[in-house]
Amino acid sequence: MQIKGNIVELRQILRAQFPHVRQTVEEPHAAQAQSTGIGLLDALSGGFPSGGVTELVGNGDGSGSAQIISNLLEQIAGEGRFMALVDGADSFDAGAMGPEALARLLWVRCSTAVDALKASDLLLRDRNHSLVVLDLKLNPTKELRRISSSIWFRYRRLLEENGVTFLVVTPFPLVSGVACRIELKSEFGILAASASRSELLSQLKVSVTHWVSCKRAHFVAQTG
Amino acid sequence: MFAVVHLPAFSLQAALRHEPDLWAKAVALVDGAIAPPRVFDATPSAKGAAVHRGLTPTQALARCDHLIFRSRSPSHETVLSEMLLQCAYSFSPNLEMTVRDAVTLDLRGLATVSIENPSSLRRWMDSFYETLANLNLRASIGVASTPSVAYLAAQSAHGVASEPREFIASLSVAALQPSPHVASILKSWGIRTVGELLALGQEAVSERLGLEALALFAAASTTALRPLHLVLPSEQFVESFDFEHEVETLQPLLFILRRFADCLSQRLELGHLMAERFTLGLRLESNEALEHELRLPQPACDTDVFFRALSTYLETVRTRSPIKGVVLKAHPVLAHQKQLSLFETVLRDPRQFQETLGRLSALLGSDRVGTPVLLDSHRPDAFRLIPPDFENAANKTKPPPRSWQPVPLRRFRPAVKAHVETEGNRPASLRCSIAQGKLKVTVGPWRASGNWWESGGWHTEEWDVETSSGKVLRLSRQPGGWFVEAILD
Repeated sequence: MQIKGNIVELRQILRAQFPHVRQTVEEPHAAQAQSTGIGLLDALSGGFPSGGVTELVGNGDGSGSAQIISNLLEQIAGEGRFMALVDGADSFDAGAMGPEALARLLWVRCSTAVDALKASDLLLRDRNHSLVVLDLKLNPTKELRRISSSIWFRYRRLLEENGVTFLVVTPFPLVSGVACRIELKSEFGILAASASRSELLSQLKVSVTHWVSCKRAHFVAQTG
Repeated sequence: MFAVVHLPAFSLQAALRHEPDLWAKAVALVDGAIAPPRVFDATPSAKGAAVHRGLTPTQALARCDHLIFRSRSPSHETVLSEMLLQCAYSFSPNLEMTVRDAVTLDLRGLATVSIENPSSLRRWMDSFYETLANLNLRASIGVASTPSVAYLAAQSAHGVASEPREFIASLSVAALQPSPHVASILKSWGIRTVGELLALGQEAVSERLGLEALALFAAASTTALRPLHLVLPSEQFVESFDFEHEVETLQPLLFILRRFADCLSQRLELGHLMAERFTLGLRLESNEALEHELRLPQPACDTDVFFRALSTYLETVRTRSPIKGVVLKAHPVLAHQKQLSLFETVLRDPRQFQETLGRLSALLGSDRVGTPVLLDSHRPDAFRLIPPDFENAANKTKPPPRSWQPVPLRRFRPAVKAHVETEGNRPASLRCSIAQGKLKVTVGPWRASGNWWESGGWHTEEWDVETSSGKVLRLSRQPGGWFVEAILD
C-alpha cells in the first residue's frame, strides 16, 4: 500500500480498509444541554453541553464566574439533582448559599491544580453527578501552564461515554478540545458587593467564543 | 419428626474455618487454657501420624515433624455456635441448642419434609449440607421421630433413622455417654450394645445402677417426646482472625477480609438481613487497637460490595506497627424497599459513589470532601463538612427562603495577611500578596463578635474595598491584624 502524504487521503484509505473502526469523534450527548439558569447565557450557548467539556474563562477579577457557579448550584438543586464542585483553590463561598442548595453539593476542597485534576478524574468516572465543576480560577498561572493537554482529551473521552456535563472555570483559555468556551468580560466593582444576585447576573458580559455542535458548526456570539 | 445437626471436631472446625486448606495437612489444635498446653484435637492427617489428644506440643512434633499448630479459641467457637444456629433458623423456626456443637430442629409442620417421603427428606438434608459447606463447615445430620434418637443418629452419622428400634439396638453403649464407672460395670457384664442393655429391663438395671440407669434408658427411648427448649439466633455477625505471623502489607489482610465478607454476606442472607455498616477492628503488635466504622451507601448483602468498601478504606490506612489480628462486625438491618416520587432523583450507583468518596478522602483527606453545612454562628465563613447524604436529600424539610442572599465571593483559606494603612480609622492603602496601592473606595465597617464568654472568643471588623486596579476585596481587622478574607469575582 502506497502511503500518501496528505492526511485526508490517509484517512480515506484507512476508512476503506477498516470500515468498522470509528474514525470520527461522535458526540452522542451533544443534543442534551445543562441549562445554566441564566437566560442570557442559555440563549447564547444553548446551555452547557452534556458529554463535553465547557470552559468558562473568567478574564480578570470581578468577571462573575463565582456568581455563575453559585447560580448553577441553585439551578441543579432546584431540579432535584446533585452537583460536584472540585474547588482547585478552596475558594467556594458556602456562606452565600442556602442550605437546600448546599445539601445537594459535593464539595471537594483542593489546594493544588494537580489534586483538583485527580479528583475530577475520579468524579467523572463515578457518573453519579450530572454536573461536575472544576474551578481553577484562583490557582496560580504557573500551576495551570503545567497541565498537559492530554488530560483534557482523556476527560473528553470519559465524558463521551458517560454524558456528564463538565464545566472548567479558568482565568485564561486553557482547555484543549472544548465543546464550548464562554468568556466572561464583566468587571464588577464595589457596588456589586451590595447588589442583589439577580442584578449581578443581568449585568454579565458574556462572549461565547467557540462552539462545536454535533454538526461541527462554529459561531461566535457576544453581548455587552 | 426432629433433626439434629451436629458439627464433629467442633473446636477444630472453629479454628480452621478461615483456613480450609489446612484440613488436608497435619494440624494439631492446642488448648492453651490448661498448663502445660496439650493437643486438644487433630486433623485426620495428623491422627494418621499418631498425634492424639493429650500429647504435649513437643511430643506431637516428635511424632510428626511437619505438624502445624493452631490455638483453640473460645471466641471462635462461640461464633461457630452462633453460625450453626443462624443457619438452622433458616430451615426451621423451632430450635434447641443444649450443646454448642449441635442444634435440634423441630420439623413438625414443615410442609416440604415428611419422614414418609424419603426423597423430600434427602433433598432437605442435601440443602442443609450445601448451606453448611458454603460456610466451610462439615456436619452430620440425623433425623428421627424423637430428639434423642435424632441426636444419636447425627452423632453416629446414620442419617435418617426410619426404623428407630433397630437403629438404637445396634448402637454401642458408649453412644449413650455413660459415666466411666457405669461404663466399666456394663463392660464387666458383657453389655456392648444398647439393644443388649434394653433387653435387661429398666427396673432391674436401675435397681443395680441407680438413677443413671434411668437416664440411659430415657436417652435410648424411641417413643419419649420432650418439649424443646426453644432459642432464637442472636443477630451478632462478627468474624475475627488472629494471624500466625504479624502482617505488614495489605494483601494478606485483604485475603482474610475477602473470606470474612463472603461468610458474613451468606450469614446475613440466611437471616434475610442486610448490613448497613461495618466495624473493622485491627489489633496491632504494639497491643494498640484501631477501630473504624464503615457505613455502606445503602444496606447490602453482597460480598463484592462489602469487600470494595473494606479495601477502599484500607488503602488509606497506615499503622504504626504490624497487624496481628482483625475483627469485622456487620450491623444488620431489615431489607427495605423505597418508593420514589415521580420527579425524585437519586444517585445512579450509590455504592460506586461511596467508593469514589473513599478515594477522594484518601487523596485529599476526609476533612476536605463532603457536603457543607452552615454553622449557627455570625462568624464569617463558618461551616463544617459532613458526609453527603444525597439519598435522603429530598426528604429533608426545606427551610423558609431567605429574604436576602449575599453575593458569593471567592474566599482565601487561610486569609491572606495584609498591611493596611488607615486614615481616620478607615483603610486607605493596602499591601499584600494579592494587591497593593491606594484604595479607591472603602465601605464599612461591619463588626461582629461571638463566643466572648468562653475561650474561643472572636471579634472581627469587615470592610469592602476597591483597589486602584479594580479589585474588590473584603478586609477584616482582627486582634491579629488585617487580613484579606475574600475577593469579588
